[in-house]
Amino acid sequence: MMRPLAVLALLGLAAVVLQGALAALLPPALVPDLGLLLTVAAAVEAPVVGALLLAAGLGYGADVLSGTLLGQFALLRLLAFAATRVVHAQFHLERGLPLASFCFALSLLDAVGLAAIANLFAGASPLGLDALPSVLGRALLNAALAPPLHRLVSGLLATLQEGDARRREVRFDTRRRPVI
Amino acid sequence: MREFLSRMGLPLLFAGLVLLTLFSMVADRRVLAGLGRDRAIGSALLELVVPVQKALLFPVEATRGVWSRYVALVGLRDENERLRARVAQLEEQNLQYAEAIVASGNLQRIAEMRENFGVPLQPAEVVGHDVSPWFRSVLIDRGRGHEVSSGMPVVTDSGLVGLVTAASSHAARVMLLLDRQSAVDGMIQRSRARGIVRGTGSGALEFTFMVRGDDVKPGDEVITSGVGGVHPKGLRVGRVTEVQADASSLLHTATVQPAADFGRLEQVFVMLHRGPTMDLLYAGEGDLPEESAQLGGGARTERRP
Repeated sequence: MMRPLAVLALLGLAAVVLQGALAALLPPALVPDLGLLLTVAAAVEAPVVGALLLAAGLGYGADVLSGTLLGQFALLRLLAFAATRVVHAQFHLERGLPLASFCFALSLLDAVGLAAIANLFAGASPLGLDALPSVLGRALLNAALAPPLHRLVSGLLATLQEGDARRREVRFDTRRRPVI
Repeated sequence: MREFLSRMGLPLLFAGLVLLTLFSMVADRRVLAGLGRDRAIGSALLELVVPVQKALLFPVEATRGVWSRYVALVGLRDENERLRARVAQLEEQNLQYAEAIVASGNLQRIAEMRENFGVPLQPAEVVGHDVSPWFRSVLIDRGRGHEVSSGMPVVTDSGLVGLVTAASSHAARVMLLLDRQSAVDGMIQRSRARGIVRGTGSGALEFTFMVRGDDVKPGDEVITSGVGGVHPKGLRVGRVTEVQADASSLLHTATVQPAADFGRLEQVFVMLHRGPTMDLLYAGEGDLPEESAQLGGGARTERRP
């Protein structure tokens, strides 16, 4: 339980660092929302409590490093986690196409949610209609990056589980009574 | 009980986290509105952010460095020989220019600005950018320990940059003019037509003004009007590049190119003075610099005592 959590936390940190670097270099449409994609991948593949904590952590991390109200991105990430779990129960989000489609829709909803929460709490939205092309571009980019990121997360977690299982086997063997 | 927890543990944890986010947003909103007194958590987070933001900037700077070094390698030999010859020449000129440089360029403009507005300026380095592409804010390495507090305008030698929205002991967050949540009361320097300068989230600003009798043309300089008591009067905001005239609407808009170069924002100056509106808004924050408190009213004609 702890090792997957630690790996997910490291991945989250790397995602925030990479996204911050990309945001400083590229226009909004070309900056993927790695936090959102990691939340979705973890919600599909990781232990549920770990994925939930990761979603909250990623959200608060983005809040601290951004000009938002504290908790704004965290709420959005938690809602994204819940939406992923609900949709994953109905569709196979492990597969590329459903996952990409879901991430596209989720990215659009995320932008709408961000604008709505900012309007509700701060009285002004960071997004207007003129940002629609950027939002669409970013959603497409997120959709394209979702399957490879999901494969990365699932591969890492599978490797960790395999290692744990092997270690348990070894421990079991050493406790056996000698045959002779 | 154990069965209940195993069944309802996850929903309860989720609900708890959602409530926590809502609570933190409300609390943050109250603090921003000056209703809250305790900024300890926000300040601590901001302090933690500085090293993280420096880490974020590292790959950016590294990428830029590698790129510039690669470009510099093209034709390096020729350039090297030419530069050697120039170095000898420039070293001699350097002494003569040293004095002139101090009295000219950016430093002079900064000094003039300080004189004109009668407000002390605190230099600061930009140490981080917003990780979200939808918000435009930067982090600077000066905070309450350097008399910087929320509500203070931030400028460069070119013009207005934004407003400090949060400050901790050694860092502060500055909302840039480009942010969609930013609005500045401005006016056209030539015709004195007044309007609101808003951020658009992109690289340009939007100047909204009344149609009747207002004269706005491309090329006009936009400055702060001083109305509202947030920014001192006369700070350069930008230059009108295009006027969108719609005969049917009461309000017209003009596109404004910001005076400050936000793409290369490295060093900024915080005006250590809060206008009366900001004083009211951030009343809970306290710790106003003594000098700023003395200046109080925010009129541009006031001089340092």
